[in-house]
Amino acid sequence: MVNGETLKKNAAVKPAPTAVEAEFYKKRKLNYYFGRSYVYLLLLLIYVPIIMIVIYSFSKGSGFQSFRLSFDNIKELFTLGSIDAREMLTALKNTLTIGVATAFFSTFFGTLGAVGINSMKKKGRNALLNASNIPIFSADIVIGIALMLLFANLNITKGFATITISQTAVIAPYVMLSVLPRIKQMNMSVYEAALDLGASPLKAFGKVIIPEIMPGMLSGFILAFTLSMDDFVIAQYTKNNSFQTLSTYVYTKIAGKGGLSGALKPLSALIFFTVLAVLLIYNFKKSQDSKKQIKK
Amino acid sequence: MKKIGIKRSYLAMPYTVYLMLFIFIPMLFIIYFSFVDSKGGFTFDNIVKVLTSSESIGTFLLSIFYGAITTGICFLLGYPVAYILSQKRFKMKNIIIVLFILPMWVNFMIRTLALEYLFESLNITLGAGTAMFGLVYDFLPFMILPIYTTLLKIDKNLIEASEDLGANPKTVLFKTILPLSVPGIISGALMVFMPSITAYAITETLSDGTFNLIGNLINMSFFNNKGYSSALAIVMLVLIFISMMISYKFNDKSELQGGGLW
Repeated sequence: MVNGETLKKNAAVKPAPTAVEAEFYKKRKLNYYFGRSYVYLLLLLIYVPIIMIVIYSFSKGSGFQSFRLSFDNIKELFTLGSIDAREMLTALKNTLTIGVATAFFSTFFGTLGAVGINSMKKKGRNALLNASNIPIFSADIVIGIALMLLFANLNITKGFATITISQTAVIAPYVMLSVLPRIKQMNMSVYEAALDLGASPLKAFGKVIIPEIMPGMLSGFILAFTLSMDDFVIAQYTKNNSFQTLSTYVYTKIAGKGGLSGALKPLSALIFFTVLAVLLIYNFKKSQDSKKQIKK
Repeated sequence: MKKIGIKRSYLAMPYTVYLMLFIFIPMLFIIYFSFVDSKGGFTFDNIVKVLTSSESIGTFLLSIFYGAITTGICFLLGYPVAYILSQKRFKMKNIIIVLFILPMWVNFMIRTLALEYLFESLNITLGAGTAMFGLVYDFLPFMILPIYTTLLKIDKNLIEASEDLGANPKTVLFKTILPLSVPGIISGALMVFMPSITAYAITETLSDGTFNLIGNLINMSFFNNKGYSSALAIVMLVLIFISMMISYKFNDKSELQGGGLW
């Protein structure tokens, strides 16, 4: 791996490091700035469509054609002045409710799964971990079709419940994987000490394990909610025709050409900025907390 | 003590049962329906059609080709990002990572719609190229995040050791950091490849229906020929198992399997 020449060079450098080192650091700094601008440029590119959505919130019509300043879309959003806008809001409500329910159930199953897997023997643990990878590496359309066939053959009416059940099946493994590292880090003898001191397993679980893995559960919950909000394929296959989530609503409307509410743009912008603010505050607080911890 | 340990592993029961009921059993339905004709009798027609018709073979080859390109582009764009962010001196890394995930909060159909109009306003004809752009755009975070977490976990002593042994920065990157980040690259690649060939809504919208990958084919054939569609899905299942084997092969050394993808 190491050839003699570089070794020699390095040895030769050592006696008088400053000049060469300065050159090295300068180059590294330059590379660093170059790299940083690359990251920012890519981010900018990713945000072009979102910037468009924000700008065209203030334009006439439901599309993104020539910009004509107007507040009609925003007015439509806040007054719900059209059938389309009301339909869209129902779709949003459905999406949010499903998102919360899915996140809740995924966190429940995922956390229990993680705690259980952690104390399993190697063979069972590997089997379950591999099984958990299936929904993650799988294609949504395969699972969507599979679940649709299941529900259809059991004569289960498709709607809110079936979408939530289906999304939970796909998303719970993500939560499990985000909780698992936390449990691995934690010292299980504290839990056992609680049991020895007379706490019931349930109480020890709630008072010792849960607080310890809370950060993992929380980020799992947020992740689950995000994935649920962004899902389209699974919802499309496990919903009935009259039930719409935001993605399926937009897809159906595009396929049907037209009828898309102009209020969709300001609504998306609003969601985006709300989440941006929440996440920025959350991360800012988190980094402050970790700074405090370092100081201690 | 031992009794408690066994009890705790029982906690995984609800999770296991849930996956059984809503992932594995439904998959059996796919297998069942691909061997059943429209009248309910047993048939090999669907499987034969998938394995022999030029439509399905062509679409599969096309999907693998374009999926590989999409994954490759995501890797080339995403690896540098993950690498730069994983460096210690990058102070705002948490916020930047969040910014890469944040677009997911604007519903992807709406983002896709905005992209479509963007292409139209730039007079770019919708087709394979624009569809691929949309796929890369949508799945890039899935490449960045696993690589980023793997890079963070790399033992910094190994990098220092190779530096001390005289490796220049380029050698350090290609001979030390890159090989150590292979598990992250593999799981990133798998997380981009599968969705990119099956995200039919993106390819459909951004190519105006002219560019059809396997997801589009499954979706289009589902409502008039469930058997054929299920048989296509079985081939997808095989692909999924291959990708899981790949991930298993590259992951088994590190105890924390796939852990902390996010």
